[in-house]
Amino acid sequence: MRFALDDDALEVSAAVASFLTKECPPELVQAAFNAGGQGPADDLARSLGEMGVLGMLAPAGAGGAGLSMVAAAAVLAEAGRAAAPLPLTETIALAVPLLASAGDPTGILERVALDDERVAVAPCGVAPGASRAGWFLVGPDPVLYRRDEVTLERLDSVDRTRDLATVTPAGPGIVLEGRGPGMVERGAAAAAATLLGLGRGMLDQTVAYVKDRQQFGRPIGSFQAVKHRLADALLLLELAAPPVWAAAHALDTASPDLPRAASLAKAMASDAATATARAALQAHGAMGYTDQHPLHLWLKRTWCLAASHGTARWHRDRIAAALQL
Amino acid sequence: MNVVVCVKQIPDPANPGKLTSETHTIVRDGKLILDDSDAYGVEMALQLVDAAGGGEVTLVSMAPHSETSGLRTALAMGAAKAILVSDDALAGSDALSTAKVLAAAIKRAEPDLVIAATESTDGYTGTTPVQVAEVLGWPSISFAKKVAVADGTVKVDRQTETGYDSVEVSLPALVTVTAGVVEPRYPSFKGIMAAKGKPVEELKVTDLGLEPGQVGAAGARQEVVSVEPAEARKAGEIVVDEGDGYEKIVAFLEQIKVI
Repeated sequence: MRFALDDDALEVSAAVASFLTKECPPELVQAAFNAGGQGPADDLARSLGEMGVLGMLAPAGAGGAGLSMVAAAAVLAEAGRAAAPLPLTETIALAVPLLASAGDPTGILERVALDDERVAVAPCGVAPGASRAGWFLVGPDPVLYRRDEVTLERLDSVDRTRDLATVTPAGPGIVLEGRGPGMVERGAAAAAATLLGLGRGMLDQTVAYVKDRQQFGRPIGSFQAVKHRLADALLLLELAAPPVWAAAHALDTASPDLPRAASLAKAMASDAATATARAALQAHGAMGYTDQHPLHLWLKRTWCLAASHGTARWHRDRIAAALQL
Repeated sequence: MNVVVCVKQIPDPANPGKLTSETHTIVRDGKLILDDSDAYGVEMALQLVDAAGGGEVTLVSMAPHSETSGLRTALAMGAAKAILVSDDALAGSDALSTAKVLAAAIKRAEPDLVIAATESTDGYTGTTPVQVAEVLGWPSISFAKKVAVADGTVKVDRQTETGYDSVEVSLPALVTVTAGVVEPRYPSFKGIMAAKGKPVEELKVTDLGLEPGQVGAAGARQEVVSVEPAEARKAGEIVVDEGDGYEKIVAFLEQIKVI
């Protein structure tokens, strides 16, 4: 089994990385945070739609690029690295492929791929990006509802770009037939990829910071206590990466190992990103505890995603059950 | 209308560049990328072809080791095809040899217009494009900040120190564009996937009717004798404000005759 990133995945993720470096700097993420996940985030979503990022998993005929989940995972990792203030995990890896595999029953797929229409995804009844969505995919066996078929109740999130709401269906909705692997696996694999990128983004910033910040006449990165913590974080992120690509590959190949692979990826990526967040916060001298420093944007996204699509513990229990332990 | 864009594939400027110890030429061993300054030319060419309502954009590049990574980026933006000249005999070429090679490759594409950047981000000679035009016997306009094509002529707003000159020449011609002439598009995923199937014609020096002795180190009329590090910028003067900071600022501005 070869699940390493192929040329397609490397090229499209490099294109997204270069786009986000220029168009999604920390100032934009902060502005989107202040605007509750709207304003500049909306412009970013439109550009990503035009680039073909949102619809990358839709077939070529349906406004997509027909790319693999491995490529999507690589792209989500870059979105995480930049802390892109949009529910890309849900749009790219859940809404678009679920609609596509169910034959696009309401004919909205192309519009979703271009960000002319948004579908919010609520596997457990809570949807990020809720206030701008015209459609909702609700439940672990997803049912598609129009906006006027659900009741929304706003939920505060520590990450204000999340724009969360509880979704209560009040109509029959449309059951998505023939949609392939479930929301749990798709969500877990995609969130794991985003978390991996968030971790990498925090580590990059922290390494740059400790090389620059002087104390006792030298950069704090020269102290072993700092170096070791960051080396530990790198180790966790490097260990989490292969399971993330493997879970994406398991989705691409409809592998019987998918449930275990997806849970392994999410458990390891959640742990790695959360540990990196702690190390990053400490190495920044606790800057990032407040919203005066951009690190907080990465920390909060990490906390939210680590708790979404199944916590590390929940996924470890699932692996144990699969192994009949 | 057919447009050729000269694109250079260069070592990633994010990494520190290296020179060979003997010939002082740029080391180009690793993966090469599209020179950022060429993205403006590619975008300009795509817009001109669009405006003309037909034709295509062809890339012409000279690079070692059959390198196509940078070409793929420009093909993903929308260029139709590429001509790559890659030959060991080209190592150590000076600007004029490079111009002869590019001119010969450009002729094959029979363009109405050639676009290049004003200079490359690695070599910075800034002389190759006009030499290409001279070898082709075509007129050239450098430093374009606005380009329009109509009725067999190209009209250019040419950047000057004080403003711009309006210049018009008949086609075929060569124009070098500044960064900012247009905003380059990001390659779309469809473009990236389509670029894989676009033709890249790879040529050797002899395919272009040139002799290996005319190009590369053998044909170079220019030699880099030595290389010195640029003089470090002097540190600024730090003035401690003891309530009279504004007076010192005024004095400084008077000294440099700003006020």
